Amino acid sequence: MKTRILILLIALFLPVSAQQQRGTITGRVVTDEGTPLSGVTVMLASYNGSASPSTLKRALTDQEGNFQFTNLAAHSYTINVTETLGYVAPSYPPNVPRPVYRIGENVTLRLTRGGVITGRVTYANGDPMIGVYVSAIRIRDANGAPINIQSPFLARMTDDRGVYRVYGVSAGTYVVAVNQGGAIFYGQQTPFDGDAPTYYPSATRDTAVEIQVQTGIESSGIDIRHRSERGFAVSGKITGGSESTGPRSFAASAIIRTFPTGLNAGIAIAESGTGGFSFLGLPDGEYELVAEMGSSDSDGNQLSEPRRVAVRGSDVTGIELRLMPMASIAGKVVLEPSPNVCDPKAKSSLEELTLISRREEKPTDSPALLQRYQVVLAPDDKGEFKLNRLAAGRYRIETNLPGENWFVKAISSGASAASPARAGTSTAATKPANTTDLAKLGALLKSGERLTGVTFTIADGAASLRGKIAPAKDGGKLPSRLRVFLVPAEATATDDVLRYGEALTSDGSFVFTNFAPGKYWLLAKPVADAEPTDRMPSPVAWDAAERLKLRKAAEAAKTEIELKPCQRVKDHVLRY
Amino acid sequence: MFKHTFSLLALSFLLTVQLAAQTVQKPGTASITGRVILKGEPAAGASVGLQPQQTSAGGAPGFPDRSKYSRTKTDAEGRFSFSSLNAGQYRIVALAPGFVSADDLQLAGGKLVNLADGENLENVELRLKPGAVITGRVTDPVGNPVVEKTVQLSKMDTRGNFVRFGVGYQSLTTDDRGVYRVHSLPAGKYKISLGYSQQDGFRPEISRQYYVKTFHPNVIDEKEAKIIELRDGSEATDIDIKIVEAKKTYDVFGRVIEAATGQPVVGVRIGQMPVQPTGNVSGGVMTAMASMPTDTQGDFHLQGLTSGKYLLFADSRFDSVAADFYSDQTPVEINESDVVGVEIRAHRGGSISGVAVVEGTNDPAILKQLTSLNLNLIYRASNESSSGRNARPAANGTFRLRGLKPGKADIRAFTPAEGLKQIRIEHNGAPVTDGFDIQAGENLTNVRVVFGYGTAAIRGQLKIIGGVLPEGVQVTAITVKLLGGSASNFNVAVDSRGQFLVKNLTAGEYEVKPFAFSMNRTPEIAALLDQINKTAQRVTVGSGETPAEITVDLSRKENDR
Repeated sequence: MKTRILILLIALFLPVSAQQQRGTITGRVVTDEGTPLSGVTVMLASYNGSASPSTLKRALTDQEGNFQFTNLAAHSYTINVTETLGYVAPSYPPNVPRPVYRIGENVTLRLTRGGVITGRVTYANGDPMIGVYVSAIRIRDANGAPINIQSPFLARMTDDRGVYRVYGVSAGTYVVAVNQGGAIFYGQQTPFDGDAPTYYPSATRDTAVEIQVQTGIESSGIDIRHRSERGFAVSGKITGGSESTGPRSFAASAIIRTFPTGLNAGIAIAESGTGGFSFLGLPDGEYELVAEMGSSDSDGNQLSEPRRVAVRGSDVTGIELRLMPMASIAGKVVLEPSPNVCDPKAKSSLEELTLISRREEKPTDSPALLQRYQVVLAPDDKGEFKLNRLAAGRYRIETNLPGENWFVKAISSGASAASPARAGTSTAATKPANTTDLAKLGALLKSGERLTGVTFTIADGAASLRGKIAPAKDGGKLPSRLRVFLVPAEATATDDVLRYGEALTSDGSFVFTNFAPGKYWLLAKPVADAEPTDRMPSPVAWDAAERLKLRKAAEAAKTEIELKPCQRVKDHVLRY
Repeated sequence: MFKHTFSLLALSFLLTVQLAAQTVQKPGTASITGRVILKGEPAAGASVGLQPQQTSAGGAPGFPDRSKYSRTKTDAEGRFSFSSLNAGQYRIVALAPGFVSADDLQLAGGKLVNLADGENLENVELRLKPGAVITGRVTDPVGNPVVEKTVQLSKMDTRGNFVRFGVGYQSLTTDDRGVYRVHSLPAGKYKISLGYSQQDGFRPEISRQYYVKTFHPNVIDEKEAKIIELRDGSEATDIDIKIVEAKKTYDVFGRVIEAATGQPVVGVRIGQMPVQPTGNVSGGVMTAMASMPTDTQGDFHLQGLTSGKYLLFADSRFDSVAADFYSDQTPVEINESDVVGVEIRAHRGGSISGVAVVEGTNDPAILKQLTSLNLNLIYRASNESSSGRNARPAANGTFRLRGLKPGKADIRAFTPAEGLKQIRIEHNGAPVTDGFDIQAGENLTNVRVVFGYGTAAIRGQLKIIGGVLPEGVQVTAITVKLLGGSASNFNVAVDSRGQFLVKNLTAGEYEVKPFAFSMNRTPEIAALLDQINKTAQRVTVGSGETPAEITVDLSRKENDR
């Protein structure tokens, strides 16, 4: 009861401070070499008040590449660029949050000169293939780490000579395909509808020749001879949805991806009246389909369960994708009064933090749903939030906090809600307090489930730890990628998932910020070369058994460090 | 061409869909045969597509289900055939990128045919000729390449006017070197440009600067544009464009308040209509879905507008929170600086509520069609197109149109050639014969929008005699209206033989008339369109199929009548 009274007081106080504070974000757009880029449009979007951030402001970079956004409220923002003159902005895997910026920050955006893939596409008889899409599919990044999820998608159409030119290509390893379904998503009937994709030089996916693309370099002569092999159709209908979806619902659509690699193989808008959809020209293989329907009402979005399909030498018909409402998590962020206030003059507001829903997943999980796992949102001026458009699954909520003074102390549900059908049900029933530790258990959501009454408790007095991994023996060599774990050392903190941290490093440096003060162990482990970089794996601490194993290993490593309230440890050296 | 991250919501925006059971059709009894002719000779091995057209209910026309399309190749004599077809409307197209139709300039044109059961349509000719190419490079005022921007083409018509020329699937976009290459063009005289001028109406992109529309080679005045002449299959190279000037865009800041109370109106987007230098408001309405609705203070911020005059208004059509409001059209002039402090006065509008019903049937499958229809409130004043509202009947037929501005307006449902027809509107049991005269804040209730689902049909033929239609003018549809009541008219497609078919009619007297259309509206063309569109014919429909014939005599001038 005591805490609840305090929460009310804070809620009354916070909106006032939030409204008073306005500020500026300045920045600069430069090339990899540091040359300023002028004439680039920079877009500022806010997570506040909307599940999909809307562009608030646009700025044009000046002759020195500078831009600024003034008179901004103390919120969290994202920054994107457009009209980039053939330069490429860094791309982020679908379940990795984009960087968040806050007022007072100075941002440097580095764009790379895109590479070019160009060549000519011909039929078997040598005639040019006109008006067909050529897709550049990135399969490994510049460091050789595999990429499965295609984002963004690069495709260009051949001209009357059969010539294509895909530009703005990020460095990495590519295969190039003609008539690859992901690019053909609407428009006219073509003479190649239903043909299976042909990969460079005249191959199927298995025999495709890979192309290395380097920054700013043109790879020419990537000529493709069309194989004119028929693919197969996958068709069916989208059911469910319709009337219950709020004031304005949009057309339902189906997406098909290769499984398990997640390559986009087609998008189909459902036919009006019937819900019918079809994908043409698919080669033999495993696929996964999912249907979705948008709505202007943020709770009105619908999604189907992913459906696996194998194409083996014939068409697949009669696939039913049933739309179901999406789930949501709502609650409130509260700032707990703390004996430790790191900076009494700091004026962070709750609206400056972002909440990120992350669905627990295994590496073998559905690629089709991956992009829908993550919803980023900032609470409103009262600290209230609602993360919606969530697919069914078990979710954790992560935070991106302003500055380094705050840490998340607890995430719980059920203190005030009465509904029995809520998350983390297995242990909730046995707890007398009738609250669930969502940080430890996650929130298990069924389709359409609306979890409410989640409380996020934030406290001041966080510690930070910055350091570097050094070889155990001087002159020794470190693995190319390491994962550094921060593990709470107190016996009582074994299950305090919020106190576990992990950081991926390729240069040996690591940063842990916004951690509760206390005793910790540090542990570094090598990362398998095969681990893809296009999806963030679930943290080890989320799994109770793995957490225990990690703890034992960390304890054995005997690398204890104590972080005092508000302490900023720098240059810590961890031997590996 | 595109480079994008997929956004299905953007793609399917405002397209609503009603999901229903799929019907399986038996193989049909009709057939189509024909030939593809290239430069007067039969074309062997050419792809021909057959595309069934959707004519029945199902809300807005959606994206076609391409699995229903079929495709064949011509034999050594250029012949093709499609058999076992069901009755219905089909489009037959030569799928020959690089070539253009020799018959008409609609690049995706082909032939539209209404096929009856058992009909064997023969000798369909698809005539092709090689397309021409225009290619060049576009540079900005500093000499850097203009990347990922779209060139615009206009083509001289038979009367010597240059008309905006839309093309099919070929790219109009410059690449990373500023190079563009437009192919599959019909022979003729062209002008090419890149950039924006206020005559273009609204500017779809929101950016901080824009290029002033510049014609090849480097002129802003269209009269000085160099004309590019293309022959069949020819290639015009080095058609470069040197952009003369890049101009900045500006922002407008303001607030929407409720006029009666002074309170902010929250959650409404701002629509904009550019006012031409002539004073005309044209070019349609832009409501930037990408921009934010008004915030809790009612404040809005419009971005990336070019200097010039605009009418701004609160466009509550897309945001249910503010749906009870309409607003005044507020003039704003941007003169090379941002505009702040604009106040848009909104008012609580009236409403019309009632029920949509289907007369003469209790078939649930037919009744269900109601929920896929949009009831549109359309104002008669031409500058009030954006004040219109729409509502979709609920499962029990009830509907409510709200946020209505005072004025004269009609309720219209756009019904398909096959399916429900709007036959009557009643208010408090009395027929509404001349629309609604909406008063400020008035809430009209007990309105019935009555639909029929008859078994009668009109099978008609349009004949054009006394000449041929000028290039670019097409009769795209037949407008059908039930006379003697408050039925709204609707359009059905007319096929390439001039045939049209209107199904599911109830008995009564109907007016059928051609609907001619042209992108180009010179006074001469406008007069011609007017003449064609006035050629009405009355048809008395009983039961079954009633024939109709509409004859347009191009040799008769308007004055001769």
